Amino acid sequence: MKTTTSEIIASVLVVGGLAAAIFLPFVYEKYRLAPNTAEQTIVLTGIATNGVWTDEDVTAVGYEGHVYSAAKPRVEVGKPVVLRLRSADVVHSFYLPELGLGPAEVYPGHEVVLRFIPKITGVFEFYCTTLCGNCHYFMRGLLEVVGPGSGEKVPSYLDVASSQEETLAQDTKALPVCDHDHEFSPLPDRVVERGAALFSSLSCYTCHGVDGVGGIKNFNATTNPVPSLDIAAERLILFEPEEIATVMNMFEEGKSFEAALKKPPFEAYGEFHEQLELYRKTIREGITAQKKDPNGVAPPLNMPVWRDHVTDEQVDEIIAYLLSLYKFEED
Amino acid sequence: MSQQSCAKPEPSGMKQQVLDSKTKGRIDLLRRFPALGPVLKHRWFQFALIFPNLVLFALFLVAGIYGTPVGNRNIIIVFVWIVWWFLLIALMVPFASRIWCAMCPFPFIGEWAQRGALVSAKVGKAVGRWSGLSRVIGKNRYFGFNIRWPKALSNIWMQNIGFLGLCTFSALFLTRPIISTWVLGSLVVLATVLHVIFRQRAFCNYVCPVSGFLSLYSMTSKLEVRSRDSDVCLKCKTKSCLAGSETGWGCPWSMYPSKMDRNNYCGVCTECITTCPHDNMTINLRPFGSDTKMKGYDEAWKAFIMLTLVATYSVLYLGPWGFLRDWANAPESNEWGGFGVYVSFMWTTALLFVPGVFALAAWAGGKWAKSETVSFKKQFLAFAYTLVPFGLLIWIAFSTVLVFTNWSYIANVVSDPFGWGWDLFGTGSVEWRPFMSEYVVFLQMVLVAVGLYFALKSGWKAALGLHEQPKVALRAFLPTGFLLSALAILFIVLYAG
Repeated sequence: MKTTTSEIIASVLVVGGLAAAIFLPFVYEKYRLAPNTAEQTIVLTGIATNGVWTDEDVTAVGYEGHVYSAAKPRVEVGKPVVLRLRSADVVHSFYLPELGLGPAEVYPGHEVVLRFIPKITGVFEFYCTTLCGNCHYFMRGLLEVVGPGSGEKVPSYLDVASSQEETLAQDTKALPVCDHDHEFSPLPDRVVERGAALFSSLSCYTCHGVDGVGGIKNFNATTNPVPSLDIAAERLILFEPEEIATVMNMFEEGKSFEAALKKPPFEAYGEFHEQLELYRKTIREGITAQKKDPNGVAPPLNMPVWRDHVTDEQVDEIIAYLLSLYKFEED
Repeated sequence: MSQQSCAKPEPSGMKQQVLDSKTKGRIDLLRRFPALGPVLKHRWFQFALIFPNLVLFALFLVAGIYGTPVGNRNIIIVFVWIVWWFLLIALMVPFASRIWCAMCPFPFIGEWAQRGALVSAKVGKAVGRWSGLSRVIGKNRYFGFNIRWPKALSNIWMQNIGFLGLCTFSALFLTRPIISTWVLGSLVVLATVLHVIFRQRAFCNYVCPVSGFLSLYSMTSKLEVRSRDSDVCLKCKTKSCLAGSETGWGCPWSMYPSKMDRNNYCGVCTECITTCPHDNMTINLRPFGSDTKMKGYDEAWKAFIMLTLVATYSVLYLGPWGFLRDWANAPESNEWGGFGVYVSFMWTTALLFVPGVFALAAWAGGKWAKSETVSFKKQFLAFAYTLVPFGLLIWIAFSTVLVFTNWSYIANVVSDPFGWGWDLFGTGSVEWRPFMSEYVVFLQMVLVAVGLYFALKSGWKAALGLHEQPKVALRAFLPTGFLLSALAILFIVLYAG
């Protein structure tokens, strides 16, 4: 074989080989995901650090810096859907209860394929039911099922709060709670600050919301969504600012609430104390969510048992923090 | 000049003894398997070795960018840092010397640019528009600046520091595909640039961090490229192995094969076998650990660095101390204080503490032996070689457990290299289950013991070579022998504990 011919063949092999290595995987992937005309394909990737289920391509390079947007997939009613679920980092659990999908555990690097045919139109919330990281609370999305041939949004089957739409639009990476490097001061001076640090470090907000504003849905639970905690003062029968101030002082000074029963500092102190004990017990012992429909599926979220993780003082610090969240209505 | 211009000289009787010692325990593979010769001499041989690696390497880089960020599901992490590393350290180096250098994709583009050819050898100056960019060195024509590598840097210190520096951030690129892509891609760019500026494989000889430890551990290898008879080389007028010819390139590693008595700087490219007009170059099988001479402190320090690194990695990745992994992985854990401690400890240990303890043992041995004829440097370098077989076997012990533990990830990424949910060969969903996890420790203990055996054997042999009387040799080597034994026990405790 002539030298020039050999060089040409070798060069073609090199260029061809490199081109194949670079482009063939994408060609194959496109072919693999090519929607069957009768099927609608959605690829959702869970990202714990970003706090989203996204339908963008999550790549190794993108994961390092790109802020992925939450997916709002839209499918057509009556048409088969192939839902391909992936995780970019940790184990997630995908749950879309209204359409009977999941909870499906999604392991990093593995793909879970769910097939279904939506039979009703509407906007349905899906979310992660595994505590996947600081940003778990934000791992929610909306699947829209529209009428045949319709590109328009149809009236919601469920009442999806607009606040949830706002939550989905947030740049979660900018939130302190999502920040891996965010350090919670371990021993702040004030009891309320210590409670706030515990609320964050124990990831209470992943179900109860940032600042306790209200939780995510807990399908088929009697308390659905997960209760908000910023009205804890009302639940503790504390309706007057003075009463809250008294209780907060007692927390701050470490006074015994039991001892104060002998000489109650305010009128409804007895009722307050009963509720306080209930709150303490709830945090220590946890609660199994009760089924709303006894024949339905078990609610995915339960209040965990914290007794082995927090001391009695820390339980009170969390309660003090919850009390501090209460906002009195202006006259 | 034609290949027949110098007659093939017969080996003289005077040289017979030297020849015998040189070929002792060797099996000349090209004579044992005559069919091998034409294969190695074929100009497509090297290309055939590199090409599959080049394509795979490109695929790995693409996966490192566009594949899943999950390290154990991305082929670049699993194949480069688990599969390739294991094949390299446990199979290629001990049994095939630096064969990896002959198939390495790093210098491929640079060498292509430098030679202006992929499979053919070029002689004489280029004509036409490229003539200004070409230069003849020996008989061959090269493109680029072809500057000589600075003499002051003609050692492996850069590789020592580069490798230590790279390994300092191992927790990053061992787990994050994009960082691996950056590291490996940067090495390709650096290799290409250096090939254009400097002569031949300056990058591989003096810069490549992988090449540094390959040069050290290839001393132990069962394989060598050597001349059959140095007399033939001496009387050869063309010196085609060095200068090149119409049939092949002069040694890319700038070695003179006739003088080559160690594997350290031979890339097993077989170019000298192709160019030798006397059929005097061959590949030998030889006993394990046949090269025993350390020729400089740079090589000795490479042995210290490698020993420190395998100890560090064994503690980090096989030990139960999670906080140390957090220290090493500061960019993710944010433990920058711990990272400072980790870096300081690793660098101090590798560059000062281990060499210091080793020097102390060599010095104590010298004092005890009361030898005035053997200098400290000579004894230090001779005994430093013991860390070559020892370090290699410890690395094999460390790497074996990595493969045994992570084999299922290998099965996964073979079917799904990008972590996109493919299942090409039905192994995409193989569940993680370590292989022989309860027995692998015994294998590690055997490997450490084998390493100690070869270390003690080579140390004793070196001591006898330095000191004539066995009693004196024993005194000289005992402190180093104790140190090696203590190290072996430490590693066994670490693995078994």
